[in-house]
Amino acid sequence: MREQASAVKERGAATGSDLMKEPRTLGPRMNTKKKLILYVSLAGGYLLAVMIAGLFMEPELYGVNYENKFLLPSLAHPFGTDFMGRDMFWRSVKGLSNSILIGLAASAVSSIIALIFGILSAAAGGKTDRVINWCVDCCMGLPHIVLLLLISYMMGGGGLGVSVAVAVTHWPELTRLVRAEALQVKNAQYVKAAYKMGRSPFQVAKEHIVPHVLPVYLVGLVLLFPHAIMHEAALTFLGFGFPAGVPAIGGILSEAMEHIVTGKWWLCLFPGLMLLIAVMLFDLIGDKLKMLLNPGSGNE
Amino acid sequence: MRLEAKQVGFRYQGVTPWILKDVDFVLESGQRIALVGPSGCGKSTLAKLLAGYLEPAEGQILLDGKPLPKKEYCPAQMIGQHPEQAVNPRWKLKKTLTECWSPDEDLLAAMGIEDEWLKRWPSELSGGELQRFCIARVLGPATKFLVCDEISTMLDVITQAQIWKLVLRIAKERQLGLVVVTHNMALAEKVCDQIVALPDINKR
Repeated sequence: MREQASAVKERGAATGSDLMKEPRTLGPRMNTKKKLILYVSLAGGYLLAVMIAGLFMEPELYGVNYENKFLLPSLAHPFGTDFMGRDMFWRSVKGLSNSILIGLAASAVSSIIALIFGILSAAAGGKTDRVINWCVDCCMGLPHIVLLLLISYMMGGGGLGVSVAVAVTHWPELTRLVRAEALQVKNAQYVKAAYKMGRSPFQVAKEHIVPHVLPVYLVGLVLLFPHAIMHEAALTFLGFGFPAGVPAIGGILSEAMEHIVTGKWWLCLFPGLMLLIAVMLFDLIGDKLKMLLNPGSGNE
Repeated sequence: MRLEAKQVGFRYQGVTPWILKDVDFVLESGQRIALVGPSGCGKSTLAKLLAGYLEPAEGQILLDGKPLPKKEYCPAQMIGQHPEQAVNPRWKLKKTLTECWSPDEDLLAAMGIEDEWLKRWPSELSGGELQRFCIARVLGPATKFLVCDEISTMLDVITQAQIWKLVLRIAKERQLGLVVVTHNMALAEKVCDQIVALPDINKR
């Protein structure tokens, strides 16, 4: 609150050409916008680093080594080792990297479906609109995890099954959002006025409609990530996802369940925390992006 | 030029009751007509029809005998009563102001638009301030008729006087035709040279 109040005060104090320049900062305190950008880039950097580290990792790092079974967390093995002596730190990183990759694919596919359906629904209206809405209702009516299980099982499980299942089931919510935004802007007075001022449909789409729908779409896209990652982990945990050999957070957690009664707490704590942190960071990026892209709060 | 509604009828789709029926209305360049009548009698609907925002269900809106252009700049421009809805909330006001032409410094000064406002977002200005932008942006040389639908209702009386003075000055200079929709009879008498009560010409 104090930050906001001071930002408002600063804006009030700035006059004339001052307004466009860097808002004056008092001492070391940053304004909200810069802080948001810092948060977003830090979170994004961490996630990107995990993904790339996993992609280019030597498989030996998390290879089997029966001499080191069930080691407690130490400097050599920060997350300990499991019943086959595999290093849990590298396994977690690799698993999270796989999850992020699946999340990326899922977000890309789902958001494109959502964008096409949402815009089509708003632009065409009538029967098209009703059919698309019906599809959305159908998909949202089914319990999500059941749908995921069915599709993953149908595709034969494994990496492909889980990727397809996660990719094609995350579009309904975003479709609704995109449709609502597109409808709203289509009927807005300023869009009608733009047509009357002789702007072409292309210009109106480029200048008015896309900038209006894009922020919602982008935020929706980022907020899809945590869902996709959690669902991938859930599927693997239930045994419908990645095979046991492939490091995946869900698989790691389900294996750890067998050892938790014997006091091997580190097997589930650290991978679980990593998953939680990754999901929360994506959520944070989505939220902060929303604030940055919204004209109401973008100037603070 | 002449903007004309010929036997115009309008209703929202289907079999809903007629809002306007067999309305004839003629506006010549340089003429200023006030459109008055009780709430809900179709004043705003006629205004929207005249500016091409709505299509008549019957009859025609003609500009010099031809239908209003659909693709290029419409010579009859409307200014509405909700300026905050008529500007893109995601555009800084400079962009909004120059969407179809670039008003010169004199006009901006006369409208009381301060330079600093151009760099702001619409949410950072009041309704009255935004309305000045809405008016200024359609005062381009291609505009021949102005349809003003309650444009000064949300302003304080001093600003109302300023804005009308300016609109009238420009209307006289450029021989614009003016339709003024209002509930304010004093304003209608002051600003316009003819007052038309819509219920008299609406045969619904």
